[in-house]
Amino acid sequence: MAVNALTARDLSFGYPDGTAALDGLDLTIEAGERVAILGPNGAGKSTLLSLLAGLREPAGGEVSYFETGKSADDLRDRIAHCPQAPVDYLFNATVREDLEYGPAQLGIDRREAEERVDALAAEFALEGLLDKPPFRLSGGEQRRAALAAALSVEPDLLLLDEPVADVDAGHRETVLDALDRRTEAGMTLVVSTPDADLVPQVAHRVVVLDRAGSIVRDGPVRDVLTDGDLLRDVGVSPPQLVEAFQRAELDNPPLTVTDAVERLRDLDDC
Amino acid sequence: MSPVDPVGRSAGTLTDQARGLLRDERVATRSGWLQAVHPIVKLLGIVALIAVTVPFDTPGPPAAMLGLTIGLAVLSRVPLATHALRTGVPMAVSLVIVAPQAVLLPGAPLLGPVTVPGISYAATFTLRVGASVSLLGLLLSTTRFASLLGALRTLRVPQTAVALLAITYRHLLVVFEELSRLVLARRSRRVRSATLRESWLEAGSLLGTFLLGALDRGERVGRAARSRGGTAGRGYPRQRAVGLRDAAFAFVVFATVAAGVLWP
Ligand SMILES: Nc1ncnc2c1ncn2[C@@H]1O[C@H](COP(=O)(O)OP(=O)(O)O)[C@@H](O)[C@H]1O
Ligand SMILES: [Mg+2]
Repeated sequence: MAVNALTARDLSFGYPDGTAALDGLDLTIEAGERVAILGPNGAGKSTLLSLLAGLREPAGGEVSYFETGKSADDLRDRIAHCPQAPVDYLFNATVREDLEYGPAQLGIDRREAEERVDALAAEFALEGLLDKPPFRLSGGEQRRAALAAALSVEPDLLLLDEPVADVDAGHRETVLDALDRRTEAGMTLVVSTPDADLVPQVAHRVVVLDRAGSIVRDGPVRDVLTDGDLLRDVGVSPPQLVEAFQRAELDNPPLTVTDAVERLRDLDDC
Repeated sequence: MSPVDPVGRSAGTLTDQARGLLRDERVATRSGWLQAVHPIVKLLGIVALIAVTVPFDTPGPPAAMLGLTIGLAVLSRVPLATHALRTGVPMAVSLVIVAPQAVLLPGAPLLGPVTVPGISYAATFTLRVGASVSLLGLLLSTTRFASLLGALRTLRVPQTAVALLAITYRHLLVVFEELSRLVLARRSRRVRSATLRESWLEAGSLLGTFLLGALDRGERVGRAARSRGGTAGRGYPRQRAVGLRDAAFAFVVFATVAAGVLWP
Protein backbone atom coordinates (compact mmCIF):
# COMPACT_ATOMS: atom_id res chain seq x y z
CA MET A 1 0.00 0.00 0.00
CA ALA A 2 1.27 3.45 -0.92
CA VAL A 3 2.25 5.91 1.75
CA ASN A 4 -0.01 8.94 2.17
CA ALA A 5 1.74 12.05 0.95
CA LEU A 6 -0.71 14.23 2.78
CA THR A 7 -3.53 13.76 5.25
CA ALA A 8 -5.76 16.67 6.28
CA ARG A 9 -8.19 16.07 9.09
CA ASP A 10 -11.14 18.32 9.95
CA LEU A 11 -9.38 21.37 8.54
CA SER A 12 -11.00 24.76 9.20
CA PHE A 13 -9.85 28.25 8.40
CA GLY A 14 -11.33 31.74 8.60
CA TYR A 15 -9.74 35.05 7.61
CA PRO A 16 -9.37 37.76 10.26
CA ASP A 17 -12.12 39.80 8.61
CA GLY A 18 -14.62 37.02 9.35
CA THR A 19 -14.61 35.31 5.94
CA ALA A 20 -15.05 31.61 6.68
CA ALA A 21 -12.98 29.99 3.95
CA LEU A 22 -12.99 26.31 4.92
CA ASP A 23 -14.95 24.31 7.47
CA GLY A 24 -14.15 20.78 8.60
CA LEU A 25 -12.43 19.54 5.46
CA ASP A 26 -10.96 16.03 5.22
CA LEU A 27 -8.60 15.01 2.45
CA THR A 28 -6.11 12.21 1.99
CA ILE A 29 -3.73 12.09 -0.95
CA GLU A 30 -1.51 9.10 -1.61
CA ALA A 31 2.09 9.45 -2.71
CA GLY A 32 2.31 9.61 -6.49
CA GLU A 33 -1.28 10.72 -7.01
CA ARG A 34 -2.22 13.56 -9.36
CA VAL A 35 -5.11 15.45 -7.88
CA ALA A 36 -6.98 18.51 -9.17
CA ILE A 37 -8.85 20.82 -6.82
CA LEU A 38 -11.67 22.20 -8.99
CA GLY A 39 -13.95 25.02 -7.93
CA PRO A 40 -15.24 28.47 -8.83
CA ASN A 41 -13.46 31.72 -7.93
CA GLY A 42 -13.60 32.29 -4.21
CA ALA A 43 -14.27 28.64 -3.36
CA GLY A 44 -11.20 28.52 -1.18
CA LYS A 45 -8.77 26.67 -3.44
CA SER A 46 -5.85 29.00 -2.78
CA THR A 47 -6.62 29.05 0.93
CA LEU A 48 -6.72 25.25 0.96
CA LEU A 49 -3.40 24.90 -0.86
CA SER A 50 -1.62 27.30 1.49
CA LEU A 51 -3.03 25.37 4.47
CA LEU A 52 -1.94 22.08 2.92
CA ALA A 53 1.53 23.58 2.42
CA GLY A 54 1.65 24.51 6.11
CA LEU A 55 1.89 28.22 5.31
CA ARG A 56 -1.14 29.26 7.36
CA GLU A 57 -2.16 27.99 10.76
CA PRO A 58 -5.57 26.30 10.53
CA ALA A 59 -8.24 27.40 13.01
CA GLY A 60 -8.95 23.73 13.58
CA GLY A 61 -7.72 20.37 12.42
CA GLU A 62 -4.28 19.34 11.21
CA VAL A 63 -2.25 18.24 8.23
CA SER A 64 0.37 15.50 8.28
CA TYR A 65 2.91 14.67 5.60
CA PHE A 66 4.31 11.37 4.37
CA GLU A 67 3.08 9.80 7.63
CA THR A 68 6.12 11.27 9.35
CA GLY A 69 4.51 13.37 12.07
CA LYS A 70 6.88 16.19 11.07
CA SER A 71 5.71 19.74 10.39
CA ALA A 72 5.79 21.21 6.90
CA ASP A 73 8.59 23.57 7.98
CA ASP A 74 10.77 20.54 8.70
CA LEU A 75 10.04 19.15 5.25
CA ARG A 76 10.63 22.16 3.00
CA ASP A 77 13.02 20.12 0.90
CA ARG A 78 10.16 17.73 0.09
CA ILE A 79 7.14 20.05 -0.16
CA ALA A 80 6.87 22.90 -2.65
CA HIS A 81 4.00 25.34 -3.04
CA CYS A 82 3.58 27.72 -5.93
CA PRO A 83 1.09 30.51 -5.14
CA GLN A 84 -1.49 31.91 -7.52
CA ALA A 85 0.44 35.17 -8.08
CA PRO A 86 3.96 34.33 -9.26
CA VAL A 87 5.18 37.85 -8.39
CA ASP A 88 4.84 36.89 -4.74
CA TYR A 89 7.07 33.91 -5.32
CA LEU A 90 9.86 35.64 -7.24
CA PHE A 91 11.35 38.08 -4.77
CA ASN A 92 15.02 37.98 -5.67
CA ALA A 93 17.01 40.42 -7.77
CA THR A 94 17.32 38.17 -10.80
CA VAL A 95 15.62 35.06 -12.14
CA ARG A 96 18.84 33.12 -11.63
CA GLU A 97 18.97 34.06 -7.95
CA ASP A 98 15.36 33.04 -7.64
CA LEU A 99 16.05 29.63 -9.09
CA GLU A 100 19.01 29.26 -6.72
CA TYR A 101 17.09 30.49 -3.70
CA GLY A 102 15.48 27.20 -2.64
CA PRO A 103 18.64 25.11 -3.02
CA ALA A 104 20.68 27.78 -1.19
CA GLN A 105 18.27 27.85 1.77
CA LEU A 106 18.35 24.07 1.96
CA GLY A 107 22.15 24.04 1.93
CA ILE A 108 22.46 22.17 -1.36
CA ASP A 109 25.95 22.11 -2.82
CA ARG A 110 26.59 25.01 -5.16
CA ARG A 111 27.67 23.01 -8.18
CA GLU A 112 24.62 20.81 -7.88
CA ALA A 113 22.42 23.92 -7.61
CA GLU A 114 23.97 25.41 -10.74
CA GLU A 115 23.33 22.21 -12.66
CA ARG A 116 19.72 22.28 -11.56
CA VAL A 117 19.33 25.92 -12.58
CA ASP A 118 20.75 25.23 -16.04
CA ALA A 119 18.51 22.22 -16.55
CA LEU A 120 15.42 24.07 -15.36
CA ALA A 121 16.20 27.10 -17.50
CA ALA A 122 16.41 24.85 -20.57
CA GLU A 123 13.30 22.93 -19.63
CA PHE A 124 11.18 26.04 -19.09
CA ALA A 125 12.66 28.20 -21.87
CA LEU A 126 14.13 30.70 -19.41
CA GLU A 127 17.68 30.81 -20.74
CA GLY A 128 17.47 34.34 -22.07
CA LEU A 129 15.81 35.62 -18.92
CA LEU A 130 18.16 34.43 -16.20
CA ASP A 131 19.77 37.80 -15.56
CA LYS A 132 16.57 39.82 -15.69
CA PRO A 133 14.77 41.01 -12.57
CA PRO A 134 11.63 38.87 -12.22
CA PHE A 135 9.33 41.87 -12.13
CA ARG A 136 10.34 42.78 -15.68
CA LEU A 137 9.10 39.42 -17.00
CA SER A 138 5.73 38.98 -18.68
CA GLY A 139 2.96 37.22 -16.78
CA GLY A 140 3.48 33.88 -18.50
CA GLU A 141 7.25 34.09 -18.13
CA GLN A 142 6.85 34.82 -14.43
CA ARG A 143 4.64 31.79 -14.03
CA ARG A 144 7.18 29.52 -15.74
CA ALA A 145 9.97 31.00 -13.65
CA ALA A 146 7.99 30.48 -10.45
CA LEU A 147 7.27 26.86 -11.34
CA ALA A 148 10.93 26.28 -12.19
CA ALA A 149 11.90 27.86 -8.87
CA ALA A 150 9.48 25.57 -7.03
CA LEU A 151 10.92 22.54 -8.79
CA SER A 152 14.51 23.55 -8.01
CA VAL A 153 14.30 21.76 -4.66
CA GLU A 154 13.08 18.59 -6.42
CA PRO A 155 10.05 18.20 -4.17
CA ASP A 156 8.16 14.98 -3.50
CA LEU A 157 4.93 16.92 -3.16
CA LEU A 158 4.08 19.91 -5.32
CA LEU A 159 1.07 22.12 -4.60
CA LEU A 160 0.34 24.30 -7.62
CA ASP A 161 -2.16 27.14 -7.60
CA GLU A 162 -3.58 27.71 -11.10
CA PRO A 163 -0.36 26.75 -12.93
CA VAL A 164 -1.18 27.71 -16.52
CA ALA A 165 -3.26 30.84 -16.11
CA ASP A 166 -1.79 33.34 -18.63
CA VAL A 167 0.69 30.86 -20.15
CA ASP A 168 0.52 30.70 -23.96
CA ALA A 169 -0.33 27.49 -25.84
CA GLY A 170 3.25 26.48 -26.65
CA HIS A 171 4.53 27.03 -23.16
CA ARG A 172 1.44 25.41 -21.70
CA GLU A 173 2.64 22.17 -23.30
CA THR A 174 6.09 22.82 -21.82
CA VAL A 175 4.61 23.17 -18.36
CA LEU A 176 2.29 20.17 -18.64
CA ASP A 177 5.09 17.97 -20.04
CA ALA A 178 7.36 19.02 -17.20
CA LEU A 179 4.69 18.08 -14.68
CA ASP A 180 4.14 14.73 -16.43
CA ARG A 181 7.83 13.90 -16.19
CA ARG A 182 7.87 14.69 -12.49
CA THR A 183 4.79 12.66 -11.64
CA GLU A 184 6.03 9.72 -13.70
CA ALA A 185 9.13 9.84 -11.53
CA GLY A 186 6.92 9.60 -8.46
CA MET A 187 6.17 13.19 -7.46
CA THR A 188 2.76 13.84 -5.91
CA LEU A 189 0.92 16.69 -7.60
CA VAL A 190 -1.97 18.80 -6.36
CA VAL A 191 -3.22 21.43 -8.79
CA SER A 192 -5.99 23.96 -8.22
CA THR A 193 -8.00 25.36 -11.11
CA PRO A 194 -11.40 26.84 -11.94
CA ASP A 195 -11.05 25.35 -15.44
CA ALA A 196 -12.51 21.86 -15.92
CA ASP A 197 -10.81 21.57 -19.33
CA LEU A 198 -7.41 21.59 -17.66
CA VAL A 199 -8.25 18.82 -15.20
CA PRO A 200 -7.84 15.74 -17.50
CA GLN A 201 -4.42 17.07 -18.53
CA VAL A 202 -3.02 17.29 -15.01
CA ALA A 203 -4.94 14.84 -12.84
CA HIS A 204 -6.43 11.40 -12.42
CA ARG A 205 -8.53 12.37 -9.45
CA VAL A 206 -10.53 15.51 -8.89
CA VAL A 207 -11.86 17.12 -5.74
CA VAL A 208 -14.69 19.61 -6.31
CA LEU A 209 -15.10 22.54 -3.92
CA ASP A 210 -18.33 24.54 -3.83
CA ARG A 211 -18.62 28.25 -3.09
CA ALA A 212 -18.81 27.53 0.64
CA GLY A 213 -15.45 25.76 0.53
CA SER A 214 -16.83 22.25 1.18
CA ILE A 215 -15.85 19.18 -0.79
CA VAL A 216 -18.96 18.18 -2.78
CA ARG A 217 -17.35 15.47 -4.84
CA ASP A 218 -14.10 13.52 -4.83
CA GLY A 219 -13.43 10.84 -7.42
CA PRO A 220 -11.84 9.73 -10.67
CA VAL A 221 -11.66 12.47 -13.28
CA ARG A 222 -14.03 10.77 -15.73
CA ASP A 223 -16.80 10.19 -13.18
CA VAL A 224 -16.73 13.74 -11.91
CA LEU A 225 -16.26 15.66 -15.15
CA THR A 226 -19.11 13.91 -16.93
CA ASP A 227 -21.49 15.00 -14.17
CA GLY A 228 -22.44 18.30 -15.83
CA ASP A 229 -25.21 19.10 -13.37
CA LEU A 230 -22.93 18.85 -10.39
CA LEU A 231 -20.31 21.09 -12.01
CA ARG A 232 -22.85 23.73 -13.09
CA ASP A 233 -24.33 23.64 -9.58
CA VAL A 234 -21.05 24.73 -8.03
CA GLY A 235 -20.44 27.31 -10.78
CA VAL A 236 -17.89 25.53 -12.97
CA SER A 237 -18.43 24.91 -16.69
CA PRO A 238 -18.11 21.26 -17.70
CA PRO A 239 -15.28 20.51 -20.16
CA GLN A 240 -16.18 21.68 -23.66
CA LEU A 241 -15.85 18.22 -25.19
CA VAL A 242 -18.13 16.73 -22.55
CA GLU A 243 -20.63 19.51 -23.11
CA ALA A 244 -20.55 19.00 -26.89
CA PHE A 245 -20.99 15.23 -26.75
CA GLN A 246 -23.73 15.43 -24.15
CA ARG A 247 -25.67 18.03 -26.15
CA ALA A 248 -25.35 15.80 -29.20
CA GLU A 249 -26.73 13.03 -26.96
CA LEU A 250 -23.69 10.84 -27.47
CA ASP A 251 -22.73 8.72 -24.49
CA ASN A 252 -19.30 8.20 -22.97
CA PRO A 253 -17.95 11.70 -23.83
CA PRO A 254 -14.20 12.01 -24.40
CA LEU A 255 -12.05 14.09 -22.04
CA THR A 256 -9.09 14.84 -24.30
CA VAL A 257 -8.79 15.96 -27.89
CA THR A 258 -7.03 12.71 -28.83
CA ASP A 259 -9.92 10.68 -27.42
CA ALA A 260 -12.42 12.94 -29.18
CA VAL A 261 -10.72 12.47 -32.54
CA GLU A 262 -10.90 8.70 -32.10
CA ARG A 263 -14.59 8.84 -31.16
CA LEU A 264 -15.40 11.03 -34.13
CA ARG A 265 -13.58 8.67 -36.49
CA ASP A 266 -15.52 5.74 -35.04
CA LEU A 267 -18.77 7.64 -35.55
CA ASP A 268 -17.81 8.39 -39.11
CA ASP A 269 -17.08 4.72 -39.79
CA CYS A 270 -20.54 3.47 -38.87
CA MET B 1 -0.49 62.55 -17.44
CA SER B 2 -2.03 65.97 -16.93
CA PRO B 3 0.13 68.74 -15.58
CA VAL B 4 -2.09 69.05 -12.46
CA ASP B 5 -1.58 65.60 -11.14
CA PRO B 6 0.84 65.97 -8.26
CA VAL B 7 -0.20 62.66 -6.70
CA GLY B 8 0.48 60.54 -9.73
CA ARG B 9 3.64 62.43 -10.46
CA SER B 10 5.14 62.36 -7.00
CA ALA B 11 4.20 58.74 -6.37
CA GLY B 12 5.59 57.78 -9.76
CA THR B 13 8.81 59.66 -9.20
CA LEU B 14 9.14 58.28 -5.70
CA THR B 15 8.70 54.76 -7.00
CA ASP B 16 11.27 55.14 -9.72
CA GLN B 17 13.72 56.77 -7.34
CA ALA B 18 13.23 54.15 -4.68
CA ARG B 19 13.61 51.35 -7.18
CA GLY B 20 16.72 52.86 -8.61
CA LEU B 21 18.08 53.35 -5.13
CA LEU B 22 17.25 49.89 -3.90
CA ARG B 23 17.82 47.74 -6.87
CA ASP B 24 19.78 49.30 -9.61
CA GLU B 25 21.71 46.12 -10.11
CA ARG B 26 22.88 47.62 -13.39
CA VAL B 27 25.19 49.96 -11.48
CA ALA B 28 26.45 47.05 -9.41
CA THR B 29 27.29 45.09 -12.54
CA ARG B 30 29.00 47.95 -14.39
CA SER B 31 32.72 47.75 -14.75
CA GLY B 32 33.91 50.40 -12.32
CA TRP B 33 36.51 50.58 -9.61
CA LEU B 34 34.44 49.84 -6.54
CA GLN B 35 32.46 47.15 -8.34
CA ALA B 36 35.72 45.28 -8.80
CA VAL B 37 36.66 45.51 -5.14
CA HIS B 38 35.95 42.39 -3.10
CA PRO B 39 32.76 42.89 -1.04
CA ILE B 40 34.51 42.21 2.26
CA VAL B 41 37.34 44.65 1.54
CA LYS B 42 34.79 47.21 0.44
CA LEU B 43 32.54 46.73 3.46
CA LEU B 44 35.44 47.04 5.90
CA GLY B 45 36.88 50.00 4.01
CA ILE B 46 33.64 51.94 3.96
CA VAL B 47 33.03 51.25 7.64
CA ALA B 48 36.56 52.49 8.39
CA LEU B 49 35.99 55.67 6.36
CA ILE B 50 32.72 56.36 8.16
CA ALA B 51 34.35 55.69 11.53
CA VAL B 52 37.13 58.13 10.83
CA THR B 53 34.75 60.86 9.62
CA VAL B 54 32.26 60.87 12.44
CA PRO B 55 34.44 62.09 15.37
CA PHE B 56 35.49 65.35 13.65
CA ASP B 57 34.02 68.58 15.00
CA THR B 58 35.24 70.93 12.27
CA PRO B 59 33.61 71.05 8.82
CA GLY B 60 36.86 70.56 6.83
CA PRO B 61 37.47 66.81 7.14
CA PRO B 62 33.87 65.70 6.51
CA ALA B 63 33.79 68.04 3.49
CA ALA B 64 37.00 66.44 2.21
CA MET B 65 35.48 63.01 2.72
CA LEU B 66 32.41 64.06 0.79
CA GLY B 67 34.72 65.16 -2.02
CA LEU B 68 36.52 61.81 -1.92
CA THR B 69 33.21 59.96 -2.22
CA ILE B 70 32.32 61.97 -5.30
CA GLY B 71 35.64 60.97 -6.84
CA LEU B 72 34.96 57.34 -6.00
CA ALA B 73 31.49 57.63 -7.52
CA VAL B 74 32.94 58.98 -10.76
CA LEU B 75 35.57 56.21 -10.91
CA SER B 76 32.86 53.61 -10.29
CA ARG B 77 30.50 55.07 -12.89
CA VAL B 78 27.73 55.61 -10.35
CA PRO B 79 25.15 58.00 -11.87
CA LEU B 80 25.94 61.29 -10.15
CA ALA B 81 22.41 62.72 -10.19
CA THR B 82 20.98 59.72 -8.36
CA HIS B 83 23.88 59.69 -5.97
CA ALA B 84 23.52 63.42 -5.27
CA LEU B 85 19.81 63.01 -4.56
CA ARG B 86 20.38 60.02 -2.33
CA THR B 87 22.97 61.99 -0.37
CA GLY B 88 21.30 65.41 -0.56
CA VAL B 89 17.95 64.48 0.94
CA PRO B 90 19.34 63.16 4.24
CA MET B 91 21.69 66.19 4.35
CA ALA B 92 18.76 68.58 3.91
CA VAL B 93 16.83 66.79 6.64
CA SER B 94 19.73 66.99 9.08
CA LEU B 95 20.27 70.64 8.20
CA VAL B 96 16.68 71.38 9.18
CA ILE B 97 17.14 69.51 12.44
CA VAL B 98 20.42 71.17 13.35
CA ALA B 99 19.73 74.69 11.98
CA PRO B 100 18.52 76.19 15.29
CA GLN B 101 21.94 75.47 16.75
CA ALA B 102 23.39 78.10 14.44
CA VAL B 103 21.59 80.67 16.56
CA LEU B 104 21.51 78.93 19.90
CA LEU B 105 25.22 78.25 20.29
CA PRO B 106 26.93 81.16 22.03
CA GLY B 107 29.99 82.74 20.44
CA ALA B 108 31.21 85.47 18.13
CA PRO B 109 28.33 86.80 16.01
CA LEU B 110 28.61 86.15 12.28
CA LEU B 111 25.45 87.56 10.73
CA GLY B 112 22.53 88.76 12.83
CA PRO B 113 21.83 86.17 15.53
CA VAL B 114 23.93 83.51 13.80
CA THR B 115 27.16 82.74 15.64
CA VAL B 116 30.45 81.44 14.26
CA PRO B 117 30.51 78.30 16.46
CA GLY B 118 26.82 77.83 15.63
CA ILE B 119 27.32 77.81 11.87
CA SER B 120 30.40 75.65 12.18
CA TYR B 121 28.48 73.13 14.26
CA ALA B 122 25.55 73.01 11.83
CA ALA B 123 27.89 72.65 8.83
CA THR B 124 29.96 69.91 10.47
CA PHE B 125 26.88 67.96 11.47
CA THR B 126 25.34 68.18 8.00
CA LEU B 127 28.59 67.34 6.21
CA ARG B 128 29.19 64.37 8.49
CA VAL B 129 25.76 63.03 7.65
CA GLY B 130 26.40 63.70 3.96
CA ALA B 131 29.77 61.95 3.93
CA SER B 132 28.45 58.91 5.78
CA VAL B 133 25.35 58.60 3.63
CA SER B 134 27.41 59.06 0.50
CA LEU B 135 29.80 56.29 1.59
CA LEU B 136 26.91 53.95 2.37
CA GLY B 137 25.31 54.84 -0.94
CA LEU B 138 28.52 53.90 -2.75
CA LEU B 139 28.68 50.61 -0.93
CA LEU B 140 25.06 49.75 -1.71
CA SER B 141 25.04 50.83 -5.33
CA THR B 142 28.26 49.10 -6.32
CA THR B 143 27.62 45.80 -4.53
CA ARG B 144 25.05 43.17 -5.37
CA PHE B 145 22.86 42.73 -2.34
CA ALA B 146 23.51 39.00 -2.18
CA SER B 147 27.29 39.64 -2.07
CA LEU B 148 26.79 42.16 0.71
CA LEU B 149 24.85 39.65 2.78
CA GLY B 150 27.53 37.08 2.01
CA ALA B 151 30.24 39.49 3.22
CA LEU B 152 28.34 40.19 6.44
CA ARG B 153 27.98 36.49 7.05
CA THR B 154 31.67 35.86 6.43
CA LEU B 155 32.48 38.64 8.89
CA ARG B 156 30.45 36.72 11.50
CA VAL B 157 27.78 39.38 11.86
CA PRO B 158 25.04 37.66 13.92
CA GLN B 159 22.73 35.53 11.78
CA THR B 160 19.62 37.30 13.10
CA ALA B 161 20.90 40.70 12.04
CA VAL B 162 21.74 39.47 8.54
CA ALA B 163 18.35 37.77 8.21
CA LEU B 164 16.63 40.95 9.39
CA LEU B 165 18.50 42.97 6.78
CA ALA B 166 17.60 40.47 4.05
CA ILE B 167 13.94 40.57 5.03
CA THR B 168 13.83 44.36 5.25
CA TYR B 169 15.40 44.70 1.84
CA ARG B 170 13.02 42.21 0.28
CA HIS B 171 10.01 43.88 1.84
CA LEU B 172 11.09 47.34 0.74
CA LEU B 173 11.33 46.13 -2.84
CA VAL B 174 7.91 44.58 -2.56
CA VAL B 175 6.45 47.75 -1.08
CA PHE B 176 7.74 49.92 -3.90
CA GLU B 177 6.57 47.48 -6.54
CA GLU B 178 3.14 47.61 -4.93
CA LEU B 179 3.18 51.40 -5.11
CA SER B 180 4.19 51.43 -8.74
CA ARG B 181 1.42 49.00 -9.67
CA LEU B 182 -1.11 51.16 -7.87
CA VAL B 183 0.08 54.31 -9.60
CA LEU B 184 -0.10 52.57 -12.95
CA ALA B 185 -3.62 51.28 -12.32
CA ARG B 186 -4.73 54.72 -11.21
CA ARG B 187 -3.24 56.29 -14.32
CA SER B 188 -4.85 53.75 -16.65
CA ARG B 189 -8.29 54.30 -15.15
CA ARG B 190 -8.20 58.09 -15.14
CA VAL B 191 -10.71 59.34 -17.70
CA ARG B 192 -10.03 63.06 -17.38
CA SER B 193 -7.45 65.19 -15.69
CA ALA B 194 -8.14 65.74 -12.02
CA THR B 195 -8.21 69.10 -10.32
CA LEU B 196 -5.58 69.76 -7.72
CA ARG B 197 -8.19 69.34 -4.99
CA GLU B 198 -9.43 66.02 -6.33
CA SER B 199 -5.90 64.86 -6.68
CA TRP B 200 -5.08 65.51 -3.06
CA LEU B 201 -8.32 63.98 -1.81
CA GLU B 202 -7.48 60.91 -3.80
CA ALA B 203 -4.00 60.81 -2.37
CA GLY B 204 -5.40 59.88 1.03
CA SER B 205 -7.26 56.84 -0.19
CA LEU B 206 -4.39 55.89 -2.49
CA LEU B 207 -2.03 55.90 0.46
CA GLY B 208 -4.43 53.81 2.54
CA THR B 209 -4.88 51.22 -0.20
CA PHE B 210 -1.17 51.21 -0.80
CA LEU B 211 -0.25 50.54 2.81
CA LEU B 212 -2.82 47.77 3.23
CA GLY B 213 -1.88 46.24 -0.09
CA ALA B 214 1.82 46.35 0.73
CA LEU B 215 1.18 44.77 4.10
CA ASP B 216 -0.82 41.96 2.52
CA ARG B 217 1.71 41.43 -0.20
CA GLY B 218 4.49 41.38 2.36
CA GLU B 219 2.65 38.56 4.09
CA ARG B 220 2.28 36.63 0.86
CA VAL B 221 5.95 37.04 0.05
CA GLY B 222 6.78 35.99 3.59
CA ARG B 223 4.78 32.82 3.09
CA ALA B 224 6.50 32.17 -0.23
CA ALA B 225 9.91 32.55 1.42
CA ARG B 226 8.81 30.16 4.16
CA SER B 227 7.68 27.59 1.63
CA ARG B 228 11.04 27.86 -0.06
CA GLY B 229 13.03 26.95 2.99
CA GLY B 230 13.29 30.12 5.03
CA THR B 231 13.97 33.81 5.04
CA ALA B 232 17.66 33.74 5.85
CA GLY B 233 18.43 34.90 2.32
CA ARG B 234 21.40 32.62 1.95
CA GLY B 235 22.93 32.78 -1.53
CA TYR B 236 25.86 31.38 -3.43
CA PRO B 237 28.70 33.89 -3.36
CA ARG B 238 30.19 34.84 -6.71
CA GLN B 239 33.87 33.99 -6.31
CA ARG B 240 36.49 36.51 -7.25
CA ALA B 241 40.18 36.81 -6.60
CA VAL B 242 41.67 39.75 -4.70
CA GLY B 243 43.54 41.96 -7.15
CA LEU B 244 45.01 45.34 -7.95
CA ARG B 245 41.78 47.27 -7.52
CA ASP B 246 41.26 45.78 -4.07
CA ALA B 247 44.75 46.88 -3.14
CA ALA B 248 44.17 50.36 -4.54
CA PHE B 249 40.98 50.77 -2.57
CA ALA B 250 42.60 49.43 0.59
CA PHE B 251 45.40 51.96 0.11
CA VAL B 252 42.96 54.87 -0.28
CA VAL B 253 41.18 53.80 2.87
CA PHE B 254 44.43 53.37 4.76
CA ALA B 255 45.78 56.76 3.64
CA THR B 256 42.53 58.53 4.49
CA VAL B 257 42.19 56.91 7.89
CA ALA B 258 45.84 57.71 8.65
CA ALA B 259 45.29 61.34 7.61
CA GLY B 260 42.19 61.45 9.78
CA VAL B 261 43.97 60.06 12.82
CA LEU B 262 47.01 62.31 12.37
CA TRP B 263 44.87 65.43 11.76
CA PRO B 264 46.10 68.09 14.22
N1 LIG C 1 -6.53 37.82 2.85
C1 LIG C 1 -7.87 37.61 2.85
N2 LIG C 1 -8.66 38.24 3.74
C2 LIG C 1 -9.99 38.03 3.75
N3 LIG C 1 -10.64 37.21 2.91
C3 LIG C 1 -9.92 36.55 1.99
C4 LIG C 1 -8.50 36.71 1.91
N4 LIG C 1 -8.03 35.95 0.91
C5 LIG C 1 -9.12 35.32 0.39
N5 LIG C 1 -10.25 35.68 1.04
C6 LIG C 1 -11.61 35.18 0.80
O1 LIG C 1 -11.63 33.78 1.09
C7 LIG C 1 -12.40 33.11 0.12
C8 LIG C 1 -11.56 32.03 -0.56
O2 LIG C 1 -10.54 32.67 -1.30
P1 LIG C 1 -9.49 31.86 -2.19
O3 LIG C 1 -8.95 30.74 -1.38
O4 LIG C 1 -8.53 32.82 -2.74
O5 LIG C 1 -10.44 31.28 -3.33
P2 LIG C 1 -10.06 30.63 -4.75
O6 LIG C 1 -8.60 30.40 -4.78
O7 LIG C 1 -10.84 29.36 -4.78
O8 LIG C 1 -10.52 31.56 -5.81
C9 LIG C 1 -12.95 34.16 -0.82
O9 LIG C 1 -14.25 34.47 -0.41
C10 LIG C 1 -12.02 35.33 -0.63
O10 LIG C 1 -12.71 36.54 -0.84
MG1 LIG D 1 -7.19 31.12 -6.00
